Amino acid sequence: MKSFLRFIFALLLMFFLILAPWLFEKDYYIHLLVMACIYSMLAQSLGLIVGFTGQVSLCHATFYGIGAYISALLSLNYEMSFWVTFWFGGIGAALAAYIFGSIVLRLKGHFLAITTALFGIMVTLVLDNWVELTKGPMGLPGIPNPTPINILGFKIGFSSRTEYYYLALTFVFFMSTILYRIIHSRIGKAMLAIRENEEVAQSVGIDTMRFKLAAFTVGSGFAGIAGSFYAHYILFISPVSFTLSESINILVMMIFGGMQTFVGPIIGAITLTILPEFLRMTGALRLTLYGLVLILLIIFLPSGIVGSIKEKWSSSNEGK
Amino acid sequence: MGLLELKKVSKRFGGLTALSEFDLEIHKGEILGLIGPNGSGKTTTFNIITGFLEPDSGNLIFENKNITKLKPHSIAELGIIRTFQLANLFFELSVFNNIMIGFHNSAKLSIIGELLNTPTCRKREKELNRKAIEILKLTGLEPHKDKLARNLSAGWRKTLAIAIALAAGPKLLLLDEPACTLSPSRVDSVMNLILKVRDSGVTIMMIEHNMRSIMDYCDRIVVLNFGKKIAEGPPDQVKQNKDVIRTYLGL
Amino acid sequence: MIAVFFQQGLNGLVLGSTYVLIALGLTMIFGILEVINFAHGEIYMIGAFLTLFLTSIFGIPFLFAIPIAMIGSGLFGLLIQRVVFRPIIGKPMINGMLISFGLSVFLMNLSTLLFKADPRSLDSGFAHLNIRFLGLQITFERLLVIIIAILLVSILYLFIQHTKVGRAMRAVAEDREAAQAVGINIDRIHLLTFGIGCALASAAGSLAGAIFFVSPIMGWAPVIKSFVVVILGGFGNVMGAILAGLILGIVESFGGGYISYAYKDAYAFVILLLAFLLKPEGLLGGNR
Repeated sequence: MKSFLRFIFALLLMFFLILAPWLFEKDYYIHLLVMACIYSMLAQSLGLIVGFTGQVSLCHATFYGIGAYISALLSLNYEMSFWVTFWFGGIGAALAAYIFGSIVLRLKGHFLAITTALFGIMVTLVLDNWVELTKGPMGLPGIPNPTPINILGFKIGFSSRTEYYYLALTFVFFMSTILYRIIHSRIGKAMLAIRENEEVAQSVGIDTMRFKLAAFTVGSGFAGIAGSFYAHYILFISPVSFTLSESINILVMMIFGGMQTFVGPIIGAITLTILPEFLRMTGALRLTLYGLVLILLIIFLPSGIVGSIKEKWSSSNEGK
Repeated sequence: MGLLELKKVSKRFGGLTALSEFDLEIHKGEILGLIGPNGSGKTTTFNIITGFLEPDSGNLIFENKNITKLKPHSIAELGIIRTFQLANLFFELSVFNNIMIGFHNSAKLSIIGELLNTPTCRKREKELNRKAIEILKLTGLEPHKDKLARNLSAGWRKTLAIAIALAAGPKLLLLDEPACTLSPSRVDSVMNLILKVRDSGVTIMMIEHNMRSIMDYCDRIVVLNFGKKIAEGPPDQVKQNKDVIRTYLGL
Repeated sequence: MIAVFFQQGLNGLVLGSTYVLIALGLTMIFGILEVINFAHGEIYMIGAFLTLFLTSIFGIPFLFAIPIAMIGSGLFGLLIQRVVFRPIIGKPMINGMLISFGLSVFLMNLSTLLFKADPRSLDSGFAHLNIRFLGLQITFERLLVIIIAILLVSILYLFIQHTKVGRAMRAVAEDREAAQAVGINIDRIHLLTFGIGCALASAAGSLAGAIFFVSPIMGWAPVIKSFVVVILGGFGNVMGAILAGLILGIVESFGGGYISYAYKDAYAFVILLLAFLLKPEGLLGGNR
C-alpha cells in the first residue's frame, strides 16, 4: 500500500516536472524552476554529508563556487565547452573537498561546523582578492552557453530557458539516482552508522574517516557540478553567490524539507526557491522575514516537512 | 600460546596511572572475567585492546600479530569486537538495521558493485538478511526487529549491543558490563546468551560488577586495582585470595 | 622601523582586546548552553548603536553610555535566551546553530531597516586626545579599549572565581547533571550566562564603534574571528579565550601591516588550520 502510494506520487511528480514549462508560460517562472533544480542538486548533495553521514558542513556553497569558477575560467580562457568543463568543475570541487576534508573531518560537531564556515570565508576572500584570475568582486561576465547538441535529430541550442530546464532536470535526475544508490547500499549503511554513533561504527570495523571523506567528496563534487551549470546558465558569476550565507541557505533548504530523508532536500529546495519570489519583497525586509521564519522553523518544525510526515506515519503505525 | 597477549601495557592520563605494566593472556575458547573497583583500569584495558586508546608502552599480540598501533576499525577487522558500557547503539535505526550494519566486516565492498546493485551484491545482502534473522532468533530480539533501537528497554538494548557485535564476526568478544542495570531474570538470559556464543567458538572477555554472574559463568578471573593486576585464576581460587578480599571486596 | 613595529603591536593589542570581550561571552555561552551563537555579533552591533544613541541623542558621556548600553544589551540577552534559545536546549547542535543564524540575519536586517545601512561615526570625545610614551603614539580612545577590557575581564574573573553564583556557573559548565543534582537552578544559570555574555559583547561594540564606525553589519566579521578565538582557546575555556584573542589581534595587525592588508581577514583561518595540522589531537583546551 505504502509503496503503491509512493509509486503513484513519483509518477505524478514526474508528469508535473516534465510538463511544468508548459504550465507556467512566463519566462520568469521557468527561470525559477531552473534555479529550483540547481538548489535541489545542492540541497540533496548536502543531505548526503549532513543528513546521512552527520557531518555538518558550512561550506557547501564554497564547493558550488569552486565548480562555477573552474568551469567559467576554463571556458573563458581556453574556450572549452560546458560539456567538458562541468566534469572539471565537479572533479575540481571534489578534489578540493578531498584535500580539505582529510585535514578537518577528524573534527566533530561544533569544531567541524566552524572550521568549514571559516574555510568558506577564506575562499570568498581569495575570490575577491585574486583579481588577475577572478577579476575580484567584479565577477566574470560573458560565460558561453553550452554548445548545441543533437538528441535523436532534435537540435538543442540552449537559447531558451525551457531547454535549460530540461537539462537541469536531467542533471537532477542523474544525481538523485546516484545518491539514492549510495544511500541504499552498504556504503550508505556505513554512513548512517557514522551519523548515529561513530564509536560503535568503528567497533564493528567501519573505517569512519574513509566514509566521511567519501560522503564529503562526493557531495561537494556534486555541488561543483551544480556550480558549473549555474555559471553556464546565468552566464555571469561573482563571489557574492558563494558566501557563507549561501551555504547556510542551502542548509536551511535541506532542513526545511527534512534532512534525514531522500526527497526532503528537493522539496525544501523547490519550496524555498519559489515561495519567497511571490512575496515580492526586497533586500532587508525580505531577509528580516527570512531570519524570523528560520527561527520559527527550528522551534516548530525541527525535522522538516518530509521528516515530520514520516514521524507521523511511523507513530500511527506503531500505535496499531 | 594465547589468542591475545598484553605485554607490560601501561597507560597514564596526566598524572594518573590508569594501567601499569599489565600482563595478560587470553586463551582460546574461555570466558575471562575482568574485575576491580571503579577506576582500576578495566575500561581502559578494553579501549587499549580495541585501539580506541594507544598505550604509552607495552605491546599487544593477537594471533601472533602485533596490533599495538592499529586503528579501531582495523582491529575490528581482525575479529576483536567490543560492546560499550552504556549500550551505545545506532539509536535512530531499526533493530534489524542495527544488526545489518554490524555485518560491515564480512561484506567486501566494491564501489561499482554497490552503485549498480549487481547480482553478487544483491545475493550477498540476501545472505546477510538470512544471517541477521539467525542472530535475531539466537538473541531473542526477533519480536522487536522493526522497532527503533531507542525504543528498546534497557535490557534489550544490552542484548542488541551483543547482537551487533555478533554480526561483526568476532573471534574475541569484549563485553563491557553486559549485565549491569538488568533485572535478575534478564541477567541470567544475557549470561546464557554469552554461554551460547562461547560454545559457538568465540572467546569472551567481560567486565562485570555483578559478582554472582562473574563467579558462576567465568572460567578465569583477573583482578585489577589501581591499574595493577593483583590476582588471576579460576573463580574459586580468586575468591580465596587475601589481596582480593582486602582491596576489592572491602572486607 | 622599530617604532612602526611596536605601533603595530599596540594596534594588535587593541584589536585583540575587542576579540577577547566578544569571545569571552561566546565561550561562556558555549560552555554552559552548548550553543554556537552566530547572533553574538549582532549584540555587539546593538551595543554600539545604543551607545551611539545615548551619546548623540541624550548627550550622555561616552564612559557612562558604555555601562548603560551593557545593561540594555544584557537585558536583551535575557530576552533572546528565553524566547529563542530555551526551546532548543537538548536538541541537536545544528538546530542551535541555525536558530542563532536566523536570529543574526533577523537582527542585522531589522537594524538595516530601522537605522539604514550607512556607517556612522560614534564620537567618544576622546578621538583627538593623543597619548605618547616611549616614542609610541596612541589615541586615548584606543587605549581605553585595552583599559576597559582589562577591567571587565578582572571583574568577570573575580565574579566567576569568588561568588556563589560564579561557582555555580563553573559547576554547570563542568558537569550539568551533577550541578543539577546538588540543587543548582540550571535555567537561571543559562539566563545569567546569556546576560553577562551579551553585556561583554556590547562593551566591545561600543569601544570598537568609536574607533571604526557603527553599522548594522559591523558584527559579522568580528564574531566569526571570535569563533576562531574560542576554538583556539578551547571551547568553554576562559583563560584560553583571553590568550587566543590577544594573539589573533596581534597576528592580524602584523599580518595586515607586513604581509597583505587585503587578506587580513584570512589570517584567523590560517592560524586555525596550522593549529589543526600541528596539533590535531586538540588545541589548548582539548578536543570537545
